[in-house]
Amino acid sequence: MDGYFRRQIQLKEIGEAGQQKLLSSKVLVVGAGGLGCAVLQTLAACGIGYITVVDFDVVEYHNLHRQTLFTTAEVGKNKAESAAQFLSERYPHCQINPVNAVFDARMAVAELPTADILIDCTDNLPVRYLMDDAARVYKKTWVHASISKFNLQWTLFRPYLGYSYRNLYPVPPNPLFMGQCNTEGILGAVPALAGTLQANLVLNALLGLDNVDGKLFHMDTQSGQSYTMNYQAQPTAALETPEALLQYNYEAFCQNFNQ
Amino acid sequence: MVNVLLFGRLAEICGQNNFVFEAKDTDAVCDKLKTDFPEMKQFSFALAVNQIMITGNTKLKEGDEVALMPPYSGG
Repeated sequence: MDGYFRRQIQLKEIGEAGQQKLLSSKVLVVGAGGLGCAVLQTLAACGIGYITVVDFDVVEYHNLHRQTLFTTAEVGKNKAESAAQFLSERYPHCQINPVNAVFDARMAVAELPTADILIDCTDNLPVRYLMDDAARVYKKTWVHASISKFNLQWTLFRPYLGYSYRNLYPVPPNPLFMGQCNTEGILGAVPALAGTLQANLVLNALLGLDNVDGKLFHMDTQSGQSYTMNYQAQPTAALETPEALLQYNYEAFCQNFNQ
Repeated sequence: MVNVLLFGRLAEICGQNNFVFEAKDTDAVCDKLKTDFPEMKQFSFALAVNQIMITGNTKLKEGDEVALMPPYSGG
């Protein structure tokens, strides 16, 4: 790559072999919003070779302060396609496959077998549980981040080894009491920070350099205080096959929040 | 006395992110918070004692730290 990645290759933990591994990696990014824009740009710039990005949504004017891949001219256009255009112009080593659709079980079954890693950049609980189950079925790692105002959570999950989102939150929360960017507001830097932390975990996981199984990280971005919650690997009595994924009603599951 | 840490919306509801009070076990911590702040009953959260997640009621000793970590959803 003519020195493009020289500073990464210089790291003895990465080297030529590690950079080559990134260039041959396929990642699946679900969501091209605040988290997704930071994840996509960081991964493409660092030399991921193949990115599939899924988003059904269109760019809105009030997204632009935090979804920095988009321009005012793209308001009303699909986010996955707009992001792909930006990234392929800027990072020619990266092949981007935009998918203008909702990420559902059918897409999970189609896309997961060929993906090296999955990244949840949505604000959507049913998608999060679907990703957790699909990652278990296909023995994949998935990387998570989410935001509540000025606070972040992030980690990676390996549900096939017992490190799953369902272990942390077996009962889905009541969506009425979940903070959302569209109701609470969001400072643009916060999803950018969370997405960059996600991308960093993705790169480390692809290189075999991560050491975060069984940990959920939290940061209060106003005080800088960090908290790590450790949890034990546990087998989850959940879906085991692609057929079971296709039959499971994630929307209904996430409405069943009464404890 | 135990040190109780609250995150995200839970800290907002309770008006602070840290309490110190007497509690013999984690059920007592949750009961006290839900009594003092009834809106807490609407929330699900993971519980950790001394940074290790627990899944059932757990006895506490002097100086233990209990954290209530709700799932976040913004993206």
